[in-house]
Amino acid sequence: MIDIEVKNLTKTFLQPDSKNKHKYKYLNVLNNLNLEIKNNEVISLIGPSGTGKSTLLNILSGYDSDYQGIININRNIEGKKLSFIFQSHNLLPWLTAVENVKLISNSESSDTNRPQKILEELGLKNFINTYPNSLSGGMKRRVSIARAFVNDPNILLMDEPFISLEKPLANQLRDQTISLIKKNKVTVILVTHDLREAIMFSDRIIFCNETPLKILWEKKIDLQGGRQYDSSIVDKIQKEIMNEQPDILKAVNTNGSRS
Amino acid sequence: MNNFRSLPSVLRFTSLISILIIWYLLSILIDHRLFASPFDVFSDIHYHLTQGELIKDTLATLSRALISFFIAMFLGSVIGYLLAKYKQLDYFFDSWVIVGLNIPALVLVIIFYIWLGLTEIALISAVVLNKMPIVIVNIREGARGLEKNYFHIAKVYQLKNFMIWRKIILPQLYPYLMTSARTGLSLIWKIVLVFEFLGRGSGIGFQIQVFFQFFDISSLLAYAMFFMAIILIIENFIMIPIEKKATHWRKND
Repeated sequence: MIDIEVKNLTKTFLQPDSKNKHKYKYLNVLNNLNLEIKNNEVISLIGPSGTGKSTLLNILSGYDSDYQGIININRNIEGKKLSFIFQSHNLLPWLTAVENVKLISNSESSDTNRPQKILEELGLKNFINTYPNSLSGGMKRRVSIARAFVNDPNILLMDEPFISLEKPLANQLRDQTISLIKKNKVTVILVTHDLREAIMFSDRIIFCNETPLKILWEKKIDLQGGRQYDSSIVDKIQKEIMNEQPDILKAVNTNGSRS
Repeated sequence: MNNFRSLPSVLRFTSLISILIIWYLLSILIDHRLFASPFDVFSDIHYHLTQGELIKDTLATLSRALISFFIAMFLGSVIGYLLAKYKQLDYFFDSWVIVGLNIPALVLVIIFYIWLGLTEIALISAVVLNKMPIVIVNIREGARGLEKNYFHIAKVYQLKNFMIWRKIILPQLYPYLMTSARTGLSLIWKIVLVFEFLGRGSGIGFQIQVFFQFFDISSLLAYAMFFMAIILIIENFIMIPIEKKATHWRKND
């Protein structure tokens, strides 16, 4: 079953001309893009900045509705929902951790304690009623992860969710997120610059570059266990990719271990 | 530690007492019927409260000030938000707002008294028109700075409009609403007094005009001090607690 289907997606931005700031020109960020993601599949989009990856997520999430093409998303069927983990935590500073999670939790849900439970599951038992300005960077990310999973989503979009975090903390959050993804059987699109991160999360990695976004190559990942950032199996697959497509990492402008 | 915490209160209290002492000493030195002592003023407050019409006049002024305040806040907030949201509206009405900000209050009230007669509606309309541009400018500024990322959350999680207003828009506008409210109240009550002085038959402003005709400095100060005390009570027991409640999450910033 297909959860996300993108057909001939085109997105154009109007932006100032670099030669004459008084003139504007059209920039084609997505041009007839086609993509299919199966139910429970986790895919990573990996490529340089400014190629339209985040734009694609904004369109899929419903935030940007100004595009041409067809988007079919298996959303809101049988109470299932779409979630988003943003680059920054985007917590509302005037709401406590639990209020931030409750804000989007399903009011019809029978389990009213679900926001508290998921925060506890992510190690925030003692910080449930704390405001974001009193939480550390890692705790804020955990709250944003809790918010993303509180509604039992069937689709999750992640836009560089572990960027600018220290490696041990990023690894801990990656492990917790993978465990929630597997437990909740979620279809995921992860946008990242980090090849190791892409390998540990994904069933399929899509390498892309250029503007408008162009898919260069796809690699299926068969990772039965060892979904850890520093595991030998991730190491092995990374080497495989480098051997199979030696120029691909240069093309997508990633070094494989950014964190 | 506790000594340091109570220091501001002690200093404020000492400052108030020193004003009263200086006032009293000056009244002894000048010793003239046109320079009332604090005791004369307090005794007049007591007289007007028990035998005069201080309560009735205070209520009249307060109701005019509060009605004008709420109308100006409501209309100013709605218009300010719309101007921030729709650029074309802002381009069109910006010069109107600038004219509104600079038109003298006195001119407005005289025009309204001439057009509508010496009525409550004329007074309230003039006060509202005088105050509204300040609220519009404040709220427009606040609404322009609304954080886009929070609307991304609202869109992704399909929040209802009521929730978007309650949890995302209003908390961001609270500081601007509170600034408008606090500056607004202090401005409005002073304008209301002037307008009552010019064309009403009741209220603190009207009584001040009567005392002016009789050179009754003591009663004039009694009325002014009593009304200032009421405004200070509203400021300290209503406005400041509301502001604290709305911004309590900032205490650890």
